[in-house]
Amino acid sequence: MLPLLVAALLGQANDAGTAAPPGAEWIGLPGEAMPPPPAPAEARPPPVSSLPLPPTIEEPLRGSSPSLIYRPETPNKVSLHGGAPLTPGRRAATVAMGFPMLGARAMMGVTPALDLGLSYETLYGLMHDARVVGRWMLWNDGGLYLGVVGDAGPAFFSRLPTNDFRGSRWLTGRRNVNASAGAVLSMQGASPRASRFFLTGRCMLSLDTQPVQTDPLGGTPPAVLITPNLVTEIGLEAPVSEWVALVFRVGMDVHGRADDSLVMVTGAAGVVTALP
Amino acid sequence: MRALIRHQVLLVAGLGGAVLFLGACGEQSSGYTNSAGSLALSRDDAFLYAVDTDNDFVAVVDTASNTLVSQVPVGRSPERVVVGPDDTIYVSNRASRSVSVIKRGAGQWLEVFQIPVGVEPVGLAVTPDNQTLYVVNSTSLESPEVGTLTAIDVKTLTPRWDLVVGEEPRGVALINGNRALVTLFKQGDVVTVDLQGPAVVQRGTTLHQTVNATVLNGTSSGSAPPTFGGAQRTFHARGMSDVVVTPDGRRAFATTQWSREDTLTTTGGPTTPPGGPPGSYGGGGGGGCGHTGGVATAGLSTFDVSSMEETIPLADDLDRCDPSSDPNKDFPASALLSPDLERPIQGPVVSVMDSTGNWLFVANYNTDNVAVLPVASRQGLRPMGFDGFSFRPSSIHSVVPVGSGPNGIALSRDGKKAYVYNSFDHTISTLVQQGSGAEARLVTSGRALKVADDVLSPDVVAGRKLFFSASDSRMTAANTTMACGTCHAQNGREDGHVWMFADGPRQTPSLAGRQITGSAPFHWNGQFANLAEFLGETVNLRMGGTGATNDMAGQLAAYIDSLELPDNPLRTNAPTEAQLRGAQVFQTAMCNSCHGGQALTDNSFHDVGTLVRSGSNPDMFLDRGLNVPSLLGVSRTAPFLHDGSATTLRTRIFATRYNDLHGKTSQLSDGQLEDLVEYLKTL
Repeated sequence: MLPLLVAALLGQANDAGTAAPPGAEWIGLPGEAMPPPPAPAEARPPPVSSLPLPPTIEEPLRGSSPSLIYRPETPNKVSLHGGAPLTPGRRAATVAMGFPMLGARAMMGVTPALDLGLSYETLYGLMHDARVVGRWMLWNDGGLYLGVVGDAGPAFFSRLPTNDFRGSRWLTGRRNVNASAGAVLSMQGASPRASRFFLTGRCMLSLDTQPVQTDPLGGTPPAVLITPNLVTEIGLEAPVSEWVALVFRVGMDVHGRADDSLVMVTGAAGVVTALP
Repeated sequence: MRALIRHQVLLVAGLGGAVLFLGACGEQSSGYTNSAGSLALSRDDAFLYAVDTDNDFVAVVDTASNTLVSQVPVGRSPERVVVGPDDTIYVSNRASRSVSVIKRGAGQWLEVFQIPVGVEPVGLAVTPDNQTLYVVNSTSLESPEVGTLTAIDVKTLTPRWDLVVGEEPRGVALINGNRALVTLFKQGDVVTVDLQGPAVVQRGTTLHQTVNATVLNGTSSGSAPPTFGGAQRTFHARGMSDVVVTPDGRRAFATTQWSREDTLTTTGGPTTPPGGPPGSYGGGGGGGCGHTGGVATAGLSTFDVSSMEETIPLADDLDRCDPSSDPNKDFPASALLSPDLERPIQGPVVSVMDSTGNWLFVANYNTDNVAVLPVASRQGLRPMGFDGFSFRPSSIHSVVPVGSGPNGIALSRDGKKAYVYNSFDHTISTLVQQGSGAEARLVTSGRALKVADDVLSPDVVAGRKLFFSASDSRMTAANTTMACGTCHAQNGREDGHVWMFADGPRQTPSLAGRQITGSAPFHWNGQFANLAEFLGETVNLRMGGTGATNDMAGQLAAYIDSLELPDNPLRTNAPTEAQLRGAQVFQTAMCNSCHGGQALTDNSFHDVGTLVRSGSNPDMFLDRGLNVPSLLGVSRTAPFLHDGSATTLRTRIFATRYNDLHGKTSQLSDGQLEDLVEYLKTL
């Protein structure tokens, strides 16, 4: 994932360095030389009716390499953290490295408003949390999207609950099965590369199917202990192309279980990309 | 396209469902019980059942009102109790070779049957499906040298099979319904039994090698600092009286008494721990770290039983200075070191776990308390504990004082109460949590409930408490925590251990039924002419007690005289031909010239060719030879001889048959010697 991040970051810096005017950029494939800059306006022949039409995305520029395509900048609509859905059949994935978790998610557009997918997070091997995820767009207005999100799945821990004193359960608030539901609000400017800011708030229920008696003679817990938690997150997806965006997010989980940590602050950086 | 989408959605849903299912699964049934030893709870927790060995009955207590509601007569010397899934109560009657079956009716309880079993039945377990009752017999009905595990059909109350499991077995725990662990009291290990076979699939484990890894193999199980002071200590697990299994069936825990195998010094230790100078048996006396430097240390042996193929011990290297505080170990410290010197721990006999498998409650017979510790970590402690030399974390959460001689413990199913039976006081203590959060403490709730009266003489009652007390300052120092019963375990018998004293090896002799007080001088070297001398040396100097008065000596003598000879299946009114011939050989070989009289000893001294003349720990000061021991009950006192060099009677008789130093046996035939062995087994 790190090379992806580096490549994406370099790509963004390169774009910023050329400072090409909107609608006038050339995209080269790896290994190809950059195309020559457009000729000065005064050097161009005057427009006449017999001249060819401006190039389109489907038509290679006459006289240039066949591998070079001129394409006007298309807005990045591939969001996995905001409220904007993928279109039906479109797939996307994200990977992110952070603290204390790293994880990945893949989703697919099922209907114009509904996406489904899978997610995976790990506390660097101490806990593995796999979930089925869903997102339903409720409302949008221009660049503003409001959706509901939900997920559910099991978590696997490297240590037994009896040997997890101040361990991954305590830190994350998660247990054998975790399910969350909540809302996501995202906003994106009109520019094709405008960042999408997102804000999520979810209620996460952790189902502990192996509850242990925390204090001797403190009472036997129920067979399944359900604990509500609040999961919040803000961040942004910063597109670097039509299909790829960097994502930065921070959050805070507030735990409802007395013997868990009160909060877990999270942070992560990664990349979101459309899948072919 | 639509079909493709549908397919992918189904795939995602299927994967999600699969991981959800996998996450929800994983628990397996085990042989977990919420009680151990002499105490059990009814299935609805409404009644407590306490077996009282002295009174030969089961006391029934209403837990709601904390009142005694019934006393149900059972067989002689009832030892342990277990409640089946249908609320039937089973009691092992040690002196009756039977198991009582008690049914609970409307407000009354009745012994409906006594199932004949082996000799001195102790451990009991019922399968979760209520099909089979398992009984551990200290010896079989055919031989005093081996014990058995008997499976009894719960419906017909008849035996299905009887399986030899080893010498002097005691406790049993079921693992997932198809295996059982049986503890061997003197060997200090567990036997793994395939219950479907039935067959013994593992006769022992590598426990001894594991706890002595540094010394025996040159390897260490941990990263603790090297041996304290350069001394190398090795330990033998003894007194493995009971075993419990976690609710998930992954781990088992057996109460243990670690006994030093290396040479015991008799000088003071490098430092004198708070609490006064230790006896030479104490933690400072032997050199070493904390109490593990002492002669005997309370312990807990952990076994990984998650594999069907092998039972694997998980243990600390006891020769290391600090085995207790390693946070990376997911099993309890092998040595039970109290965080509080005012509450030492000695004589763990039974233990029980809460239903979530997080806390273990260990009843300590010699220090009259219950130790509470986390099962899978070493983090249940109050912040820091003092172990005799330095402050360091203790793996023990609490040590709760109870009554005298606790040998049974049961936990209520709501996880809020622990009941303890104090066998010497005939009382039941109730433990509860007081306070909450960081202030939570375990305490006894109210006064202990007395459920039976003393039927023994006052001197015997007092003498028994003295004999088994490792916390009475008159008998032992706080940092020594030794009782007479630490070695003369199981009702004044022996522990099967050979102690390497500075003057040579000394096997613990049994005191039970041997008319000991009338057989002075005492000890293998006969250095004590009377009991007062003996107590002056052993109690004061070795155990670190402040002193035994004449009254105390009388009480101890009264208790020792009250001890019964261990039961023996071959001691019958109808001896076999071989046994009768063996009795004649006993005379022919002139065994009776020394092993004569009622106690089968003339209290004289003889060199029977067993004195250790060389090696690292030779016999010293034995110019007269060894004090002739009584042969009463000899068949159950293996290993034999003062140095424990003979593991069986037959080995002893045949190995030195031609030197005529231990009986005139050189002219006897093989058959005569075999007959002699058969006779000796009946004594």
